[in-house]
Amino acid sequence: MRIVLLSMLRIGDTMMHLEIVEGLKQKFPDADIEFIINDEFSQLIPLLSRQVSRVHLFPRTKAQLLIKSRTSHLEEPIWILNDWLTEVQSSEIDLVINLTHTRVSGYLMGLLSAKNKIGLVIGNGKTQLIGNEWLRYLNEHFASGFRSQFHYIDVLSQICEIEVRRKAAEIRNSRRIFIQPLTSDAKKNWALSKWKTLFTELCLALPEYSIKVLASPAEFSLLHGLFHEEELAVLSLDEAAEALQSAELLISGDTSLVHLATQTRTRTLMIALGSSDSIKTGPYLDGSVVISARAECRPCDHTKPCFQPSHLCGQSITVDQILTLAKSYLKTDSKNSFNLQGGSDLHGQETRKPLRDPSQEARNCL
Amino acid sequence: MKCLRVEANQWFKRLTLIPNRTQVILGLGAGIHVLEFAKQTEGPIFVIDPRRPLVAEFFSRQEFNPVTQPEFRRIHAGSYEQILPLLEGRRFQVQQYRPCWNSFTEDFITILDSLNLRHPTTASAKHSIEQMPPYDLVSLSAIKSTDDKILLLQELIQ
Repeated sequence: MRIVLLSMLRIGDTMMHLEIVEGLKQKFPDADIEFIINDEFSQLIPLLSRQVSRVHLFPRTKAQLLIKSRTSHLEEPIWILNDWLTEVQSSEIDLVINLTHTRVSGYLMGLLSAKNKIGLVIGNGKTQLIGNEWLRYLNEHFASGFRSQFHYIDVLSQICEIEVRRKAAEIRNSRRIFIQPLTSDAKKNWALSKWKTLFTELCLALPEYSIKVLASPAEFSLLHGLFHEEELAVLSLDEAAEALQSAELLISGDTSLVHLATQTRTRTLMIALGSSDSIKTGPYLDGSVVISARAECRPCDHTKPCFQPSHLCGQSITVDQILTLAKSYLKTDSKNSFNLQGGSDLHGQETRKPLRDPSQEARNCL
Repeated sequence: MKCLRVEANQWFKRLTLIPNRTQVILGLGAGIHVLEFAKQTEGPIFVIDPRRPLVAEFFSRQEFNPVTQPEFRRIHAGSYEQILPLLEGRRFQVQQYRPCWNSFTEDFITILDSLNLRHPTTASAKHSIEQMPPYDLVSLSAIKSTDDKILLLQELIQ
């Protein structure tokens, strides 16, 4: 059985979709599961290839560049996309699932031939939602500016009619902590000066720990002036996954690394600012903690810049609060015994209720 | 001669060839780069040049690998009607041999734009509009693309 999953958002979303892969493997143990991702995220291939049979790179960036290029034929992007489609459909697809719900993924669903389809499909002048009522919930609640009562993975698992179990974070004793300061969006960034102070304070408070600041090769230049070279760990995503496997704690903004840490079952302390909505897309891992600012404008629209005169949500969380929380978090030896000692005055520490009885919740919700 | 071969070789190394495309070389020059190209590629080659009829004739008589046998065309800038039947139905990629464009750059660029359907004022644009299928499209890229799937792809990449 050949199952193709369309995962055409950003890296963090694709990381979350790996939970769906696990659920599908349980339901269809003999299935070959394949991913379609955007070509700009080719660095994901080594990571994804561990869990799926094949990863197809949708040549979106390539096609967009060719459209603009005067030296290539106007139809070249179409030829390339046609070639790509032919290759993807070289053998029959039994089930294709759109985990993305964007216009591009909808059109692609319309073009792909498969015995069964689940998700948004656009084609022949029609826009269809093929599947159960949870698709409508996803469409109505996961657009920017709308709230959801359920985590993205819980909703997707209902759409795919599979069981996805939230894993528990592992309590490790490796004495290694990673900090990931930069996110993909300025609104979600805590001030770099605060990250620097937090790093310094953590090093003083926990001398027995190896504490490193994670940076992708692209982020290095932004962090290099603030942190010493030996304080930085410049890693590819694949290398970061390996590093997180032995880490005791990750302190991060809302980044793809949070979802990578879910895969490696690494305890995570996430600072949710700006458009970050931890109910929808927080770490899907029992034992992880999300510190969410309580600004009235939060969570804001992820497509627009912050409209406040200053970054209110970022300013409302102090270094001392995160430091206290991190120290007390590390002292816990079980995910259940953690409480906010000395940190209970934190602004809106969010707790998420796992979806215990989805069908019951669905009846209330839909 | 050696110098021309080196130049041709360097030119070829800089090219990015898309698989399964008919290759069109724009500019014949002394033709050394065409020999180099034919030596290193498979599949048909078209060479277009608005000048040099004698060299073109000479090269037409040379024996090449039957698969890659280059076909030469002498086409004047703007005469899109001459080019279209030549490449009709083919997926092709135009390679520019700029060293021989000197003094004729404008002509070559017009041909390049016509071939790539990117010249808004030449016959190619008129042809595109005439050929446009009855869809609500604003893009010229719909020409020859009446297949629904191709139209969908067009929307998709926009």
